Amino acid sequence: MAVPLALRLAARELRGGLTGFRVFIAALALGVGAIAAVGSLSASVVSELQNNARAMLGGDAEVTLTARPADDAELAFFDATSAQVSVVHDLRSMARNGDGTVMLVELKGVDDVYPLFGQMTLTPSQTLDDALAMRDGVPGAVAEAELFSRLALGLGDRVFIGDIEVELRAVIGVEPDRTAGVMALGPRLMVSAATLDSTGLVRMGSLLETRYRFALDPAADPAVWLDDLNAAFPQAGWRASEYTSAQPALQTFVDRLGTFLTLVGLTALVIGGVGVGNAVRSYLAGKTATIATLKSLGATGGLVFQIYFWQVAVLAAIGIVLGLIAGALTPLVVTPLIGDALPVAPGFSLYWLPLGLAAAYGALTATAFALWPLAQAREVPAAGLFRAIVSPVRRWPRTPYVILTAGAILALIGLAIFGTGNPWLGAWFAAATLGGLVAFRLVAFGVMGGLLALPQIRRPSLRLALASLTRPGTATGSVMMSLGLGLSVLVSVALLDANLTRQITEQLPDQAPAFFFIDIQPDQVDAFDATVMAVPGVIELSRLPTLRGRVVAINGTEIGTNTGEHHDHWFVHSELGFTYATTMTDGTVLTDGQWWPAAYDGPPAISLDSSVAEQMAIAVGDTVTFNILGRDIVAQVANLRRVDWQAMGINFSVIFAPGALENAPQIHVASAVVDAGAEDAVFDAVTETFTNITAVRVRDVIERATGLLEKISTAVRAISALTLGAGVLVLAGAIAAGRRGRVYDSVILKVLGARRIDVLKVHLLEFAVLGLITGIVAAATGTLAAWAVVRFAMDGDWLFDVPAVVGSAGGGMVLVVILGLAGTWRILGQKPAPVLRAT
Amino acid sequence: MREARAPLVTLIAFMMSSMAAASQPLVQLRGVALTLESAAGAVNILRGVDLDIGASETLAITGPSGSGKSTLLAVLTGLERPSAGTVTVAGHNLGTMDEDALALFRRNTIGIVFQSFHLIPTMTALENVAVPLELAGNKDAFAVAGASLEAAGLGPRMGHYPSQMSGGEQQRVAIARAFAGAPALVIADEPTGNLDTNTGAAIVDLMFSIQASQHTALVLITHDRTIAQRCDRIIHMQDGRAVPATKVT
Repeated sequence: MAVPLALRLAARELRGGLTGFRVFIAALALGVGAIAAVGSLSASVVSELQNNARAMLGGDAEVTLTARPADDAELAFFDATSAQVSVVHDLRSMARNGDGTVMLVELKGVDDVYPLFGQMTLTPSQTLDDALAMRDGVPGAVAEAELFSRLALGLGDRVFIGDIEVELRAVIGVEPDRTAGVMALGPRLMVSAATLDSTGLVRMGSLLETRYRFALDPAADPAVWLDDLNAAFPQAGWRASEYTSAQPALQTFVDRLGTFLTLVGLTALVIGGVGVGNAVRSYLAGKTATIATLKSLGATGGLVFQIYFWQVAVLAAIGIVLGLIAGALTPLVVTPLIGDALPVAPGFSLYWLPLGLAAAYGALTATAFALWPLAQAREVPAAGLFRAIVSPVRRWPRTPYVILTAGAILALIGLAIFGTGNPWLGAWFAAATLGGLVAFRLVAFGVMGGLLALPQIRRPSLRLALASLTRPGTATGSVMMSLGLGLSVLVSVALLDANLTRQITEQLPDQAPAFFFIDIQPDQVDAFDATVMAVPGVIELSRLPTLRGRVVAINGTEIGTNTGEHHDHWFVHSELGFTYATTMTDGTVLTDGQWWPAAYDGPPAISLDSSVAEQMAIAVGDTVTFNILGRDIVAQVANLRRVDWQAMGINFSVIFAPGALENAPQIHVASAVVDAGAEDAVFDAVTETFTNITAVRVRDVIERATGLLEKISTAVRAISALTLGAGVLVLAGAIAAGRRGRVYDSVILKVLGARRIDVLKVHLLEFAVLGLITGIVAAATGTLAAWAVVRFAMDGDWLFDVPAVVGSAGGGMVLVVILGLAGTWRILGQKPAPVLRAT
Repeated sequence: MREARAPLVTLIAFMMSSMAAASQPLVQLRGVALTLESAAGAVNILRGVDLDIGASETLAITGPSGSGKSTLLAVLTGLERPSAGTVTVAGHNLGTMDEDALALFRRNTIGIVFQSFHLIPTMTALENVAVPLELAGNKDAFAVAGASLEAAGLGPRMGHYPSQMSGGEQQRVAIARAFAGAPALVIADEPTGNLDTNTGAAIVDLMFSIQASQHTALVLITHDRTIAQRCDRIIHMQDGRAVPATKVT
């Protein structure tokens, strides 16, 4: 089959090499690669979550009970309806080495059949049963590496938990039902269920979670089994889930982070699109004489368009394919590097949907930015060949091409909105990116107009530098637009990061507690109070009794049967902690109703957090039914109160009036405000005296939270840096495209008597002015964008972080100067004679 | 859509006008004027040019810079539309043709030789000569182009790129390209302007030799009186007007 003429001529034209198209290919590969990488990585993580859902849940289905084990009827149902049952206990506790060093651990007691699904990996290799077995009267334990390092222990060493000591026999490599990245307050320490029983930590009211995991008959539908279970025990007050829907929160998180990073990658692609347009424009400018010649030989404008369209299409395809390859391979390369930061370690596979989406983004971006200069090229007037003045056309292309370009832009926006799975976020990003591009273009026009309007500058180097920035055909506008937008994204991300970190670390109340203590038994409260208060430096100790339970009905309507708009609110979905009180604590603000009298002796009544009441449409006088330790308590809402959760004191959404809970099994929780210098002393005093009480250092929790935030922000920063990378590519492309003009200018300057240093000064000043203006505008727009997100999307208090802005924008400015000088360095050594002969 | 409808309509218009061509001079310009707007005001580049050129005739156009010579050639080839007047070439009234029809007209009727050669740098000599033939849909484009280059004395250089050839060789390729499709009219814009005297003379010899063998009409701009004298007729352009010049015999 004959190759169409346009393709034949395009192929001949491509013999000229890829000069001028390296930036084109790199910009597309970078953007497409970023999107494909994020898409592939998040798809592989989600796929891994789905593939390992059974192992991660620990069974086909799981039932979690707090503070109480399953009763006989429930156990009978479990045994009768499942093929196998495994019981696991989770609680937080303190582990102590022989030197008395104590740390918080996530303690887990497992039975003989654990894990029902997946494999436990231990170092040195052994079975879990062997590792946890009793040897010479000492029970075994396995732990994560962090415990060994923090307590300076090795294999075979012993560690104290509760009333007993256990021998550490292995380091946990893989714990199939533990999801990495999920907030944990300490390393895992795993013992057998029998060992856990003997620690003395499991007492009535302890914050112990008992998890029943079920291997069901292969033919059974876990969802149906779960429905049957809940129907059989509607008042059980447990949290039950099955593996197909067990990880929705984590999947949603991965999806959302993936969407966000995809959109940042899309911003990089769009910024790179400016480079794509510049490269095509620059390439076609060099082809003007050829185009005119073709037209003089009888080529129609349409054929000219096709010839260059096919060339651009082939090069775009190369860029897109390179990006797709890089993106597809990313999980393979990145997983070993950042595996710890991922919730699961994904395997390698090709994920066609994200790759297809990335290719579509790349193709649409190339079309949106390349079509315009291509359409202009067909209008090159061939008559200029008779006058040796053929110049590129700057006027608007014909209407069909304008419509096609607009269509590509709209399709890109549509794909951003509907292709990322989060239309609102996609629309926001599309508006911000387009707005940013337009704003930067307008600013560039304004700046160039301003520079042109400056009065005559006497200093020649500065005058020449400014002339370079404003002469006809300069790429100043597109460089400012792309580099400025890239820098803005980086400034925004740096500021958002700084705001989030500060909100966690610096917006703590002045008198934030240093410790929370949990699992204080009722018979320990006096001794506990005395122990803490005896330590010098303790400013305040607050202690409250607490019980756990669930909301099962509101105004008599059972949760679950109520399909109203509030049925998935945490208030009715999660297990809640309650307390009871006679009097209002200081600082309590009632928003409705009356606090009960001190000698209240009526039916159960509660005080409810006013924000919960508002969200759940609960008013004073309404009734809420709670299941506490298997017993239903119907309580009337006596009042609503405003709770300041940021104060970080001990507080509860629900406070019961006296009379309902005093006799139920309960524990106490406490918080202590202490001088910084007294923290260790308080910690030691409590952990040495009370082996069952768990002391949580607020500082450690904050460090773990910021650590998690740091991992996320590193990923965001890495992708955001690509937007700057795209901007840098545009700058590099502009420098390369303008090289001939710069060489000519520098030669003329040399002919007129300029030294190398004088030419260098001109270049330095040109890029310094470009970098300075771009950096200032980017700092302003990036700050504005971050402020809007913090103020309106996050509803937080705005903190302006000077180092974040100066670091990002200033770094970008320096980069412009360095890159600019690097790109023009060789020009300085250009000998005038050959250039003058050639022109 | 413009491209889609072009071939059929253009072909019909082209065939109809071709049928009327036999009884007329090959080129007929009547009252051709071209005025361009510039920042300094309207500039009259051509001011009512009347000109007939017969088939197989050779015509030299002389005149000082800015007199309108190059613009006249651009108008003759349909690359520039006049502001007033009619241009008819080989029976085609160029004023009634759209851009695609003009492109079709050029590929079938006109050959052009430029002062700066304007070969396509990414194509070999053979490919450069073949391009107009390929555009015209000639299935033997490369064979014809090869013969054309042989005739121009460039048989051994067919596979060379323009950058690998001298100026004279490049202009020979350009001449071969202009004549390869056996057009009715070849336009040459100072074809020796970028060449030394000896090379220029050889080029002119080549051009006139092919012209004579193909009976092509040849219009050339030149500042060289000797070359102009080799033509059947000379016109002198002065301030946008064509004035017949005396030919020394």
